[in-house]
Amino acid sequence: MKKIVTGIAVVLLIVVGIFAFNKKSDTVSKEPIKIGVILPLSGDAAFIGEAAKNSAILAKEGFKETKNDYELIFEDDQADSKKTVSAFRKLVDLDKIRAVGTGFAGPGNAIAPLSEKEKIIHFSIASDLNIAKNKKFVFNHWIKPENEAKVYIEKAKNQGLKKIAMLNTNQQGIIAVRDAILEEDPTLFILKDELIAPQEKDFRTNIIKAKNNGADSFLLMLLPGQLVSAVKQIREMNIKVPITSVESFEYDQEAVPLLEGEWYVTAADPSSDFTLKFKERFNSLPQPGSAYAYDVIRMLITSFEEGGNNENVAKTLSGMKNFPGVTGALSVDEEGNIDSRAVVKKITGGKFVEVK
Amino acid sequence: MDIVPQLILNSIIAGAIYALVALGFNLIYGATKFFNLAHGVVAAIGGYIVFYLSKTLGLNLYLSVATGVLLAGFAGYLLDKLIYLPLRRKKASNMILLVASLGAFTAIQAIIAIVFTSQFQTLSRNFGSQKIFEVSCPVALRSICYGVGGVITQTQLIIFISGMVIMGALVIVLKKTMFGKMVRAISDDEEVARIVGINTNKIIGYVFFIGSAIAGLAGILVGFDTGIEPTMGMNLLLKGVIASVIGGVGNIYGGVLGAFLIGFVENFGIWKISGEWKDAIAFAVLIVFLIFRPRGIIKK
Repeated sequence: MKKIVTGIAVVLLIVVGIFAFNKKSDTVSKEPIKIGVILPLSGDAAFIGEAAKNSAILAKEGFKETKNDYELIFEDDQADSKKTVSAFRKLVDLDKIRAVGTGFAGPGNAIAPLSEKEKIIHFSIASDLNIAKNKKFVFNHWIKPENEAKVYIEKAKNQGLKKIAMLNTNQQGIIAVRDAILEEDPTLFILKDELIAPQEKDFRTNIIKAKNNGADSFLLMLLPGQLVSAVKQIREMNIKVPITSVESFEYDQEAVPLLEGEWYVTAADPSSDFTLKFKERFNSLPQPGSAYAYDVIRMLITSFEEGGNNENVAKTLSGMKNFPGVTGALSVDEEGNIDSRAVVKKITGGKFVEVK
Repeated sequence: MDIVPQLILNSIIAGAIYALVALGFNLIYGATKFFNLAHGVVAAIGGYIVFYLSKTLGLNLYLSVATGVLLAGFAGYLLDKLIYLPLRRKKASNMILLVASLGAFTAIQAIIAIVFTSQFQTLSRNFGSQKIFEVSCPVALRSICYGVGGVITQTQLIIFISGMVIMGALVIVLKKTMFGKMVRAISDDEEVARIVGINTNKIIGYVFFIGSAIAGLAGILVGFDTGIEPTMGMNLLLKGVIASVIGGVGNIYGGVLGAFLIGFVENFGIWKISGEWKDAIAFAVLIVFLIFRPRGIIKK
């Protein structure tokens, strides 16, 4: 009898012990939801990538009490699609992420099909709307090229420009904007098919072609490094016509001093509250795309808080309407894109100032 | 038609840059008989040394350029002494040397990117401070070409003059000096040159120094003309190699001729079509030469 009681007591002790241990380990080993963030943290676009990284950190810190824990894992891709794919594989296979964010059109396009296949929520920040097209798990946040095109054409007409020479890099995001502009009004442009290889820095022949065709201005949508060379070469050839752009001016810091007084079209500034918070936390100003990165991380965490697997999270994101973002009320459209407002800005005293 | 003079000038500028790269490349190839792919990254070394000395440390520009050229030459010399010479001593094939040079290229390029970041940088301090020369129709021909002309910047003029001066100097050195005779002897047959008492390893080391210094100057001048980035060497190298192959690999005159031919073909080629075809045109010309005239315009 004594043996039976002792046996029951031992079994009970083991059962209670296991229960207690399991309960404790549940609390301790609560796995955080991992979100991979692949950005150019070195290279030409590092200033954009670093600011986007800081925005993501700021967004995560903004959530005080959440049902789940969240961990952001940053990877550097130098905006090089091959490196984005390697970083994505590492994040999926080793870190077991549930969502990933990317910057720029090339990297976004490179991993969108992979994210879709792996059912990883992918939020891209890029000007190519096709990244998210026909995909359940992929979303994109940028200004729609059509919006930028409308604002650009309106401003160009106001300025009386009639022969704008196009000089654009052969890159997906840039092509998307170029096509939208030509769709809006092709009659204002010359050299519509003039594309440049991404590594090219000698634009003299392209420029002289524009001059020979009677260009009254330039529309330069070029990569960082290319823009400064092109502007320098235009001025060295004694061509003194306006140089305009869609977005490119903000990505090439070396070119800014050469572009004083020139106008371009880009996204509207984020709320002053965001800019202030960013400055207080990192002692620097947000860069292009920073506000998008902030909103993207907030939308992701908000969706994960709703619970469920990635199918549910994707559904929550798809149905998001009027989400209070720092770039305005954000809604996801039927193709997974989130739109933003386009404005005209001018380089004044080396700063990007909105033209009211 | 008034586009043509500027197109000619653009072609000459591009050709002069390629010629500078091809000159050093051909000199080294002539003596060693292998494609030194690290030649491209030596050009980037030159550019970054000037960037560091002149823009970061604020050293005198001319002193920075002279140091950049010398250190680029020294980098080439070291590559020979530390990598190629030990391989040559082990009787490594030209393919092994080529692979080693590719390794050196990639490693040095990565180091430059780590030290200076991958960001594109300009060497010129103040834009607008350099002189711009207008090239116009001669007075005697005004009746037929009035209004025809183009512009060329001070840097571009220096690039062109440097190319011509270096070519002239190399020709004189190779033909008129004892050193040049030794280089030519090694170029003809290294084994025989050694038998007749030439210290071939020492001479090849000097050739690497001179060829790399020329590449360094090319990198510096390109830096002043457009800008520098760690990956700039590959594009320069490819165009230099194409120019060398088309002109006649290992031939000083051939390299320069090939460089200007590529400059003209590229720039006139994109007159009526999109600029993105530039590289395709250059490589198409290379393929045509490889098929129909594999030893180039001027056979060595």
